[in-house]
Amino acid sequence: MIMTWLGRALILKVGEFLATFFLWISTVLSMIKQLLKLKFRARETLLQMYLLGVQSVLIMVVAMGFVGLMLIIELAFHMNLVLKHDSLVPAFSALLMVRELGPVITCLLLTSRIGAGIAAEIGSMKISEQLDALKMLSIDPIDYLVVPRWIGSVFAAVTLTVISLAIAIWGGAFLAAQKLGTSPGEYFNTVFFFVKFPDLAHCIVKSAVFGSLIPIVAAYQGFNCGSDSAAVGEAATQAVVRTSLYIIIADFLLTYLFYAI
Amino acid sequence: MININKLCKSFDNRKILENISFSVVKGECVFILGKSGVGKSVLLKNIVGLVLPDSGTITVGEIKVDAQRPEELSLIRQRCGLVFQFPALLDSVTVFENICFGLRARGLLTSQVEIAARVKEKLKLVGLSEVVLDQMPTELSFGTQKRVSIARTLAVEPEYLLFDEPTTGMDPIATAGLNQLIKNLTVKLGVTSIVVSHDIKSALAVGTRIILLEDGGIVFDGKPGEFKSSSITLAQEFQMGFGYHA
Ligand SMILES: Nc1ncnc2c1ncn2[C@@H]1O[C@H](COP(=O)(O)OP(=O)(O)O)[C@@H](O)[C@H]1O
Ligand SMILES: [Mg+2]
Repeated sequence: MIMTWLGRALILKVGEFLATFFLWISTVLSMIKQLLKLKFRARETLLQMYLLGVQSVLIMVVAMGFVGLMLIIELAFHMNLVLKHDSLVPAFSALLMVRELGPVITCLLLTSRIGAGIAAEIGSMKISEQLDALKMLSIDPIDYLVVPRWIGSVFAAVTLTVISLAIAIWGGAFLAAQKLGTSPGEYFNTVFFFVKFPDLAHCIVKSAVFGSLIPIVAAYQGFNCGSDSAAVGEAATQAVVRTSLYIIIADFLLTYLFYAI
Repeated sequence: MININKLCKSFDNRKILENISFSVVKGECVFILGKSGVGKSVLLKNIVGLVLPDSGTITVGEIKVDAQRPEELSLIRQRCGLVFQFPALLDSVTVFENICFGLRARGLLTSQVEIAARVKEKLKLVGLSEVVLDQMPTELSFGTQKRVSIARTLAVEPEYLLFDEPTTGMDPIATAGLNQLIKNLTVKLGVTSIVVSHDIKSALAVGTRIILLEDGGIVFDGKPGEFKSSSITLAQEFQMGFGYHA
């Protein structure tokens, strides 16, 4: 009884995951087709870059600035405890930021800022029959709705990660000077000695992958939204929950992969 | 000709349409009546492939509705314009963009002048002035939005028009205007239409044929005159409920 229930739940989840993955593939193919046919939806795409990316700058900068400060304090405590000196704090904090926290925290924040919105928008378009209307006008909803959001979100994830990393590292320099007495020159020397190009590449790849998950999971929830208004809220919530989970799992897989190669 | 053959559709094991068969020939104006929730919208959506039947076939002209053939489906959707029960305008673009969307997406007209002329022509048909063109759909009243959605459907000049409750939510003057429009399109332009409606007066005045649905099946299919004298309870209820006495 319990086993069949669990089994059915598992099949449903796996089915949903595969369907989401299929939507990801369709979106990428649809984008390639737009580029090849020179039917690129420039206006929608620029609008989404603005809505998803530019409008998220402030919250990212503030949040990641504080993460940068926290890391310095926390790592100084760890290093003093274990190694009895704190000269490597800048290097450790910058590496952790670039390889891990930068992309993950930025994209989790981005998920809560835009994932719910995309799911609710597409969900209410479904209930109000706008999606059916698009199909009647011979416009593919993936082509018209998902591709611009996909590009906008990947753009937002990568640029916001880079911007917030810069802010966090600058914040770290400031706090390190105040608390540890490390001069900014010394700080950046250590940082650049340890943080190398592969770490940055690692960071960009991660944020691009995470950014590409957000609109796909959200759009999937929107497309499969039920037909009452509560369903729109449910789709938005599920979009954030699923995306956050997928980002954390993808982060593990990518980290594993990067250390393996 | 639209031909529906033994159409069955259920949702979650709940049978909505069972063995529906009828055909609509060129120039007819068929009104489909039935209580809320009987499956009228589902029936219309089946015709254009927005909902897929569990069994049975539908052909529009000589083309079979088949989700596996996107090109043919797109052609059917061009030849069969569907006006939705709710306006379903795209709320992120202006009224003008909404009306010309289909023209652009299908590449029917390319010159900006021709597109603008077509948009204005259809807007006039539904009795709206050009001031709404630059407005966003959400700025308009429900009745106006609905008329815009009719103009959007008319823009690609379909051969078949499917209306889902076109006059629900409209004032009596707009209702009369729309009935006149449907009649004109049928009589003058030879458009074939299927109208889902609760409005028995419109059905008797405009329709050339009435189909009554109940419990997933067709309980009446005939001329308006026959409908008036029908002995079927639901047909009588429809006429009494709306205060219509023949
Ligand atoms: N996509 C759907 N999923 C599940 N049930 C649906 C769907 N579309 C319609 N239904 C159900 O089918 C029945 C008929 O709906 P509809 O055709 O909209 O009725 P109406 O005759 O008022 O237009 C309703 O009970 C509705 O809940
Ligand atoms: Mg309906």
